[in-house]
Amino acid sequence: MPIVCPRHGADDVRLVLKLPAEGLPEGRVARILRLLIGSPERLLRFLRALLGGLEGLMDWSSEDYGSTEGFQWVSGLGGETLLEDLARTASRDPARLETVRKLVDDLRAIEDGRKVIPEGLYEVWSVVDEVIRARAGG
Amino acid sequence: MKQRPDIEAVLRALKPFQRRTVDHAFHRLFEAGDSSYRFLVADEVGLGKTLVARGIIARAIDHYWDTVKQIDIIYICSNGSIARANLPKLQVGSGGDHAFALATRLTLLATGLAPVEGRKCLAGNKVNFVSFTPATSFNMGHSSGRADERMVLFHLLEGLVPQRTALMNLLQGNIGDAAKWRAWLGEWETPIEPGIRAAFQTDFSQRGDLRSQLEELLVGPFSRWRKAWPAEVRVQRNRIIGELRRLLAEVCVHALQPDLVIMDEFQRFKGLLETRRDAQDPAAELAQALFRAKTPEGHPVRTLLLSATPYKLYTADAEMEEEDHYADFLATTRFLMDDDHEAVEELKGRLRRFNVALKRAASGYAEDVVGARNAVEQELRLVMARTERVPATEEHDAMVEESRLKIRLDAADVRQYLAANALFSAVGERDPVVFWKSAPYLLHFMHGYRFNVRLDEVRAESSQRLVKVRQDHAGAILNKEDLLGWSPLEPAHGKLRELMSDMLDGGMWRLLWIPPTVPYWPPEGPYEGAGHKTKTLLFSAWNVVPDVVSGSLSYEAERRMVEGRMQSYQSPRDQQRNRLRLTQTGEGARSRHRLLLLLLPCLRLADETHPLDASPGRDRREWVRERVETLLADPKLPNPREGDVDYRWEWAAPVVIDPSVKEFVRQWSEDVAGNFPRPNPEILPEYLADLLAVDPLELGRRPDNLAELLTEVALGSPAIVAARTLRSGDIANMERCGSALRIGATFWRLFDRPVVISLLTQIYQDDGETDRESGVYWRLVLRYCKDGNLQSVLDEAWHLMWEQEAWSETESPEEVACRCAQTLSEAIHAGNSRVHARFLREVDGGLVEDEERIRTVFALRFGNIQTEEGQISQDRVRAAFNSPFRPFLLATTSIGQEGLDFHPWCHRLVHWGLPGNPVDLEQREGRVHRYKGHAVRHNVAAVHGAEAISSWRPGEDLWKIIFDSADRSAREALESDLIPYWVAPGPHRVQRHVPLLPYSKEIEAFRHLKRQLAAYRVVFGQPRQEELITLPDNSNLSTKQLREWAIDLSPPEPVR
Repeated sequence: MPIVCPRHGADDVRLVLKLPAEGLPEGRVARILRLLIGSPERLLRFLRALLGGLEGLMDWSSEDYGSTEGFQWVSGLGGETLLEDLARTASRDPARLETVRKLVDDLRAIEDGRKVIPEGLYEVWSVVDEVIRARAGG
Repeated sequence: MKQRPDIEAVLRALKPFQRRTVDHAFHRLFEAGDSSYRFLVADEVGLGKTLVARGIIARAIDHYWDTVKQIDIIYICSNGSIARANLPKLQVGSGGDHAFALATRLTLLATGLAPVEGRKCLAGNKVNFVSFTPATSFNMGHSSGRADERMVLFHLLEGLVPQRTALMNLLQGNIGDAAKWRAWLGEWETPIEPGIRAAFQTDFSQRGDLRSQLEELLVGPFSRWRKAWPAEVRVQRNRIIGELRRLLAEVCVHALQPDLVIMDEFQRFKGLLETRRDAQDPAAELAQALFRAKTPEGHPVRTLLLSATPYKLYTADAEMEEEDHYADFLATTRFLMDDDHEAVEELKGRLRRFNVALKRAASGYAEDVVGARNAVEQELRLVMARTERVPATEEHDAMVEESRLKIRLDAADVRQYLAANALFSAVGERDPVVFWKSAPYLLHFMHGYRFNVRLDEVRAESSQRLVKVRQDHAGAILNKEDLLGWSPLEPAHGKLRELMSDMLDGGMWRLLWIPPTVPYWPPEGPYEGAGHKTKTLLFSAWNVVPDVVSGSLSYEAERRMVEGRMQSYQSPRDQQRNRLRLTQTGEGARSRHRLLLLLLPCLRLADETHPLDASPGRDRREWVRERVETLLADPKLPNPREGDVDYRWEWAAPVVIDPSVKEFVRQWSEDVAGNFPRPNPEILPEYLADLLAVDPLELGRRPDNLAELLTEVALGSPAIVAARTLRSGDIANMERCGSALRIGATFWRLFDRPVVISLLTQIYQDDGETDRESGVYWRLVLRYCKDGNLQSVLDEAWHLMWEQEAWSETESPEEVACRCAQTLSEAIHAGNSRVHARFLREVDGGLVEDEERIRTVFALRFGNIQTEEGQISQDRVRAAFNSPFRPFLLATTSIGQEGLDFHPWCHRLVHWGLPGNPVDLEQREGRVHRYKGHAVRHNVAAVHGAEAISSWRPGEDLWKIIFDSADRSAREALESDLIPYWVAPGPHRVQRHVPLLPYSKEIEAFRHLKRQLAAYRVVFGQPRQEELITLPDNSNLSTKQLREWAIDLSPPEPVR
């Protein structure tokens, strides 16, 4: 999954990171998590970026790492919003959720990671995941 | 009206804040030296603006009494039904001795005010009330108007223009049949008010242009009758008729010369208030002529505006293009200030200074805010007053309590989205996510949406796509056979699951009425522990929601009531025969007389065993039993000790105890006019004859259980209970019996419904404690009514209804009682309404449409409803919801948001979808937070109920005593005027439920809405409100601080 990020002050975007779909070695996960997803808010923004397309991604990456101050609610997008994107992806492109599944599994495997996933969010994800798996199995 | 009205008597009925508003408005309208002669009463919804208007009318009449020969009061409202409802409340003084015209159009006042036999005309009356509606009165356009208007015009113009036949042709308008039209004109006998006739003729003769245009048409195209006139001639004709109607309307306006004009809910026709000539249309010009007319005494017309939402109170940025608070607010104040440029500029300046002060406060410099706000308030109070609930509550929360239950997402919910998305995409519609967040099972309930049209198209053209969706998502689509076989309905939606769990798992499906606020004994059976239950009002902007919610809840409630006792959802009557039915064998033997105990209003039994008569601390049921034994021990009653037991005692006892019952039964049996209900009409007369034939002296020994049985009847028979309730109305005995019978008969129908029979059987017969005798169905009915405290429920409902209905000073208590009994009966057994669910069935590889109608009794959609028995009007749906009986939930789109009340038995509001504006949120909650609302009654009764019961005396209205006592306490404690009738401190609150799906956009939107809710009153009268609101929003100003800065327009103590 390519992650793109606008360079400050520039219009072009460049590729900065590639998350392998097979999972990440534990040490690197921890480092990446520390860098990218240091808080539940940033995890949400990351997931929105992943599921909501480029527009959401730019929202996510243009903010300062690790800071949750000044977090703004922007015209309906933002805050704790994820359900709509999850549902749409589950219906239209369930394969894309494989990345989320890996990420959630990886995060849940380490203590720092578990702190980043709020219980409610994990519940929502699990329900969606259960349905997708059942459909794939059926 | 020959006698000066007793204004103190009128004002005495007002609550202190209402009286202050009357005094302040009167002072500003009639006494103040700098008066603009216009005033706005903008009290929040449900605070009794009509009463305030009545008070102002009374004071105005008193003010003019000695100096004005004829006092004319005009009442303008948006439609005839509001006029009919409110006019009786506004007419001060006893009825009959003042003129009263209810014209739908201004022009028709020409005949409406004319003297006719049996009715008074304007002239010569001391006080006149005239009402009309603006849409058809001021707005003439270029239309030819109504036939009766053109008939008036004909009789006014006849003789003024020589071409009589041509005039008939021209004024025929679009009426096709010339002979009929001419016959109408010939038969016309309605007189025209002489003053209006004279004025019209003068004005017409002075309008040379109009006259020559008319004559041109009369000597031209209309000189001869034609079957059809060319289009351009019709246009000319309509224009000239429009002009003539306008002239007539102007004449009528001048003829009125009103002293006081009242415009109710004027925001619905506020274009009429436009004072700037360049922006005016002819309708506004005409209305302005009314407002600016001078009375014969030369004093200006006073105009009183009434509206809870006189202008858009708050405009979010996104709404600015459609409606703008600032522009709207200024237009209204400009009218109120009589277009006084200086005054308007002064107000604008003060608002600007307040704006600057707020912005500075957001940066930490708050010292100017209070002064600037006071300056705005001072200016606005000259022309308006507004009382609100929020400041009256201790926590400044207007008694609202928010509960945000956690909504769980379930796999079935996700499958609904997958199915919906596949369906929408199969028919070429876009993403269904907003619908999915509102309701499950979209396939079945999307009536009126484009989706349904597309679905039909695709089904006709290429149903294979749909067949595949059905196969792929079978588990997410309802199966009609399952529904017909009473399978449980999976909610498949987080919000619906929570609602079902709350209302159904909590046992409400076992209730046929909301438990009373003041039970007379501990509720038992299904009512045990249900004392806090209230009805639910549910709002959603989406049309699909009311159908899904009312259908699903009602189906599930019925399924639980039936619980395996019926095989099919269809035709319940075929599966459960009547249990309350009078029968007769082929040989003429009758054995079901005891059923009549549910219908017979025995006043002696009712009154002498009134449970409220029990001394404090007693179990009232025990006390009633003792009273029944005392009654039976009356030495005047026969009581043979020997011989066989005579079981006729069981049904004849009411006749024996109270001989007047026979008199009533005789009236009932002789009734041929249909005044009384007749269950099983073919056999009822025989049963009534048996009752009449009872000779007490012939009765044998009493059965052992007689006292026990009569105690059950005294505590639970609907007719006895109703007879007790009706006593507080001061009604003659026979009338009381009639109304009690009518109410009793409605309960008979309710308890004879198949699903209700199933319910009672399930509750009582399966409990293992019911023997054969006590388990007969009619005794279960008595037990259910006793367990549910029907007596206290009816007393409470009656109190609320009586207050609503007993307005007129001339109507007799019997008439009011009759109307209340009628309303109550309609509510107890509302019609069988349904929602339509659409199914697709596979036939030969294609799909055909199939439909099933789901009965909606437990929960209902608000609006006009089509039923098997015809249409149930919106008003009846509201009346049913405003009774303690079902429906327990009313689901509505925004149409229920404004102007209507739903509060008598409901203090729970569900915002299924969020409104875009904080004021809409308050408007919705204002529907259930009104005078003597359910939560208010709970809190008031908790403090004053016991004391009121101990001071109750036979014939008194318990709830009046409760509120009187609460009112005294509040006044002694110098509480806010809104306490106790609108606001009452205590644990019961208006419950605001906001079910939000986890991690959905609405969670953030709701946070935003709540901040706006806390702050919007501060930015009253300001342009770009949302921008201004975000300033304090982003600073560290507390909500409490913001509240203190809100503009308060409550009326000051009057200047005397």
